[in-house]
Amino acid sequence: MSAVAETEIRSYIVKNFLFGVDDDNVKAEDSLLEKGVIDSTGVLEVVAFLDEQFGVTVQDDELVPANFESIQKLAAFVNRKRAASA
Amino acid sequence: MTTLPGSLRRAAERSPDQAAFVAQKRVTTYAELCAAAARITAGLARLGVARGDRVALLLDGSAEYIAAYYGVLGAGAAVVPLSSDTRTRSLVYALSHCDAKAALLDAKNLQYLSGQAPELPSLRALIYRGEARVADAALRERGHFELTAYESLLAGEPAAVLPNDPNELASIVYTSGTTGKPKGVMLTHGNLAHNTQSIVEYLQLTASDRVAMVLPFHYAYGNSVLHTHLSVGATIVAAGSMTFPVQVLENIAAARCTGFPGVPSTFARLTSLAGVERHDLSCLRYVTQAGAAMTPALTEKLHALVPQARIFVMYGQTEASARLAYLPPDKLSEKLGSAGKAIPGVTLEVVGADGAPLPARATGEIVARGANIMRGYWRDPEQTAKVLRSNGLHTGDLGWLDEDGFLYIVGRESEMIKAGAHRISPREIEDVIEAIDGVRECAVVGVPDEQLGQAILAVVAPRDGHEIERQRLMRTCLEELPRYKLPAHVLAVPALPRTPAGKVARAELLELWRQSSSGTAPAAGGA
Repeated sequence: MSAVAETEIRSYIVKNFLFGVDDDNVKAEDSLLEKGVIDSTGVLEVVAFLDEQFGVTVQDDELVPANFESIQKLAAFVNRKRAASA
Repeated sequence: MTTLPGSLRRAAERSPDQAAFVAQKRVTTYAELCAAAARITAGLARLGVARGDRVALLLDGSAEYIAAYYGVLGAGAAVVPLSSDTRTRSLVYALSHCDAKAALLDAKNLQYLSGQAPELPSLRALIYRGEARVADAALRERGHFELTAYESLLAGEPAAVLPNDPNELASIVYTSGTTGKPKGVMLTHGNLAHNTQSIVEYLQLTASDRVAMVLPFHYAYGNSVLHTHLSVGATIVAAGSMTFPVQVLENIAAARCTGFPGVPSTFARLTSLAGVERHDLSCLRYVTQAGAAMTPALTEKLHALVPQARIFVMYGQTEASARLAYLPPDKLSEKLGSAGKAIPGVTLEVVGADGAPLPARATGEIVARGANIMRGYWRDPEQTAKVLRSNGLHTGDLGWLDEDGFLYIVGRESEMIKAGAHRISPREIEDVIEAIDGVRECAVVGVPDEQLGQAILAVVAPRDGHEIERQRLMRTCLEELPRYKLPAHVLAVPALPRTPAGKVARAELLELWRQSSSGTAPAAGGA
């Protein structure tokens, strides 16, 4: 399940923030913020995406780097939330 | 008038062990900051930087940025602060336009200069922060560039710092206008020192203040926050990024910050957070707002969130070093929606097309005079002549003064929507929509329309957990606005697109609109 979420998140990020350019420059564990892939507006778009794609509602206090820093952390967050609501 | 390096030295002499900058628990004291700046001054001289040269600075958000800024000033050179989120095109444009002699930047950003040596004949010294192997890998085609590690720059003996002349160029700040290439705003030591002193005076800053910094350092607003607090010996706390607002609130509470400067989107985000009242913000003595106009609805929400804090609504321009006007906090309710009065040392007027001052409540262009007004645009006499005229700086902003001399800003001249015979300011419509329950923020722009020339588009972002109901929104608009000011189109988005400075990216709003009208809108649900 984890791999599925990671793949979907990656393809969403690539499509919406890198405009389709996936040159392996962004690794699963890379900081999307430090790499300049996502800014504060972008994070809110990701929040909307997690809701639409995975039915995961992000609470404001969950909007922290521990959950949103990288593709890997996003996938882990989605899986934790889905497991908790299952 | 003491110039910025002089003020910093004085602060360091008074309290050498006081924290000047705190980032993730790493403290830089005033003594350390001053010493680092003096070493950088000496290091730059070794690399051939002379009085009158320009040095680019791309180390935003760090202690190194501040040390390097003052180090460059100490060398008698002008600082050119640039975003560290950069690309070849914009970086080479700025470096070439200002003929930079040296640049301080992160090792990974050297990649954007690879092979660019022919475009940058004046640029020799590149001082990088980070690992040598990253620098080597990033800058593959070196040309005449000479690489120096930031640490080696600090390794020598500190320079004996010479005083700066107030008329000397201190900084060139690039601003992107609504059209055309970025312009280089030339600020002298006198400009920056005067504006710093005025701001310190009206904010009543002291050495016991601790300011929570979320703004980029390299824009006029962030730049003025740095200099004002350093000049009084206060502490600057890097409070994190507004990408993670809860973290910012936690940092403010943990560091017991007394001050918090933000742009309207900063406060829109915070006031719309679920559970924001759980955070202890009682430490805040003052909150400042600038960068764009804040709606009365948001001002009231902010006041409700931090009732004990003095809220300073402010107005300014890069061309004025930073600040032109502020609304005294005790007038916030009485003059809600006003940008206030001129700051100490500044004169503001509202003038008509003929340049003559207009009577109260008549809308015209805001013109400013004062020791903080720029010398001009770097190597652009034509644009300089357009804005620096005999009666002062023509801001390009439209506004009016009330009977008591309080300024109300209507909008940027270029942002006015021309629909039919009407000239419509987006502000009034934005105010109405932002006051609707469930709306977090709104931006209004004109979109091309066959009949009217332009039609009104409202781009609206809901508060968390809400949806934009078009019918309800339009009903409210109809209650509050004449029919010709009703939005023709409403587009719901998760958040407004913004420039790195936090301003609404109006050109991007048009792009969002085009995409949505052709059926490819990203996340345009709800409307």
